[in-house]
Amino acid sequence: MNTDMGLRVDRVSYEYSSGRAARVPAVDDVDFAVGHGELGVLVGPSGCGKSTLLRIAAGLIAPTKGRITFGDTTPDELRKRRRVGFAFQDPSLLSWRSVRRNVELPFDLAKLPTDSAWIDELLAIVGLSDWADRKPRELSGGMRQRVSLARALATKPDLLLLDEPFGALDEITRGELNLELLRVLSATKTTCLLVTHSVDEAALLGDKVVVLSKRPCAVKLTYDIKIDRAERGESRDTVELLEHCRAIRSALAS
Amino acid sequence: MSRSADESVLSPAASASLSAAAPPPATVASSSTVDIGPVMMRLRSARVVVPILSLIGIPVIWAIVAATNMLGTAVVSPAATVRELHSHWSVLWLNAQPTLIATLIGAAVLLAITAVGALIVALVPRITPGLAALSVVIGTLPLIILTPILSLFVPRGRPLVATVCVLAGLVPVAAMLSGMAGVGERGRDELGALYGTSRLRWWRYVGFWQTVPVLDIGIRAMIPYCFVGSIVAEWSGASTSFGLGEVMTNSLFSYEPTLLWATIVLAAAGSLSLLAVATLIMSPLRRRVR
Repeated sequence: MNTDMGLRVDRVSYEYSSGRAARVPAVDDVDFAVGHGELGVLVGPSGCGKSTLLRIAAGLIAPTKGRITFGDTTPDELRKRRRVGFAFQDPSLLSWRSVRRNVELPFDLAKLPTDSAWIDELLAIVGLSDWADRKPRELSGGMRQRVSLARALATKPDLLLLDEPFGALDEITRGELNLELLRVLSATKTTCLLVTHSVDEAALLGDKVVVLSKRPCAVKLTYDIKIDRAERGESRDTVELLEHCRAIRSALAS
Repeated sequence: MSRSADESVLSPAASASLSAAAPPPATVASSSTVDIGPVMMRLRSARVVVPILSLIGIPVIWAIVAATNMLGTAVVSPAATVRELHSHWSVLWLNAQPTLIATLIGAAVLLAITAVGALIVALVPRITPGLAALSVVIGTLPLIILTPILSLFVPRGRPLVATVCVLAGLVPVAAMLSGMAGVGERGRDELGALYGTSRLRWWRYVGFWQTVPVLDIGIRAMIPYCFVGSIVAEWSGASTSFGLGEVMTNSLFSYEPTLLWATIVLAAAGSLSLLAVATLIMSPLRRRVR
């Protein structure tokens, strides 16, 4: 399996069918690519079909038209090989499991032997080593999201999908976690596709920002941002980043 | 770009610096953790205050009603009832035993039905709507009419009382299984589908634990319900000679209101004791998923 070419979304459309009702288009002819190890951001209005696109990329649903490839493989094949990580908007941590056991959950669900050394390392990466034996109820919202992120990375996925993981957090925690995500992705060299409706977050995190229209979502603009990840923390209030935000906002408004 | 299991993506130094950057639990606990203390205190105090007020309030109201004769002389005072309970203890306890034994047999059968049913519902969720319908159908049948019909097929005495008890408990069991099916499936279409988890595996690692709150409430409701079912079965002629329901019928028809009230108090105490036992049995599971 060669995944060096990254993620390619090739003219993908998707229609929901709900019983006898007419089919409802959710995604319309979406076409973009995210390079290997890059972070692609899908930004668009609420309910436009971003999450549907993410579920297609995860191989959880099949597109009505078009195809998605990751290197020389399909998302479905990638998912069957347990090479996809997914962090949902709601961290959905299991209250009866400790932080460590929550991060280990994919191994239990996928019937894989637990890689304890990697779990230790992941907990260190997300800064939760000291909290490994605590229960989710003892954690703050930001910490729960970090656990969710670690859980998504537990099986060392080649493709990481994040569905508005920081959407419910306050501005300060969100800012911290944005930088933490960049650090984690740099450390793991994982290709990532993130859904958000925050323009600032999209510009700060994305190597490639895909601006989507209202439902059914179509690509309005594909925007490359060439700022080194290491410098992104400091670039938050720079004119360059503000320019990127302006370009994305005007594409969204058009 | 698959990485080997033992490959490290961060150097030890980098890992150490990131760990060091993480706030220590002791310092963060006060600022970052969700402070649920006051809410929990209020909930706990509500859980303690309501039963205590009930335990004090009900006898007080009962004593006032008995003292004022507002509902006639059939309402005996709490003090007279306790005296009767004390003086007839051996007879009442002798009659309480078959009721309790039939209830425990019925509850054991229902727990077995719950265990098997929970597994079936988890593996074949399509039957869940049928279970909800079943609970409604059983619930609409007045329990008292079951006894004469069942007495045609089941010998009177303990077997018949236990059978009616099981039928009485089927309503909460069917409702509980229906609720468990919905809760147990939560997240399976996301996490379960992502990792290709089988239904059985999902149930083992996630589904069962998610259903514990439903199971807890269901079992706590079911066991006292079984006890009431046994008493009603005895009342309506399922027992041969002994049973709390039998004592209630006899004391009513021989106009012994004091004995009737004493039996009712004993039945209420029995029901509360069974609820306490069920709560105690479920508490380790409840604590684990809290």
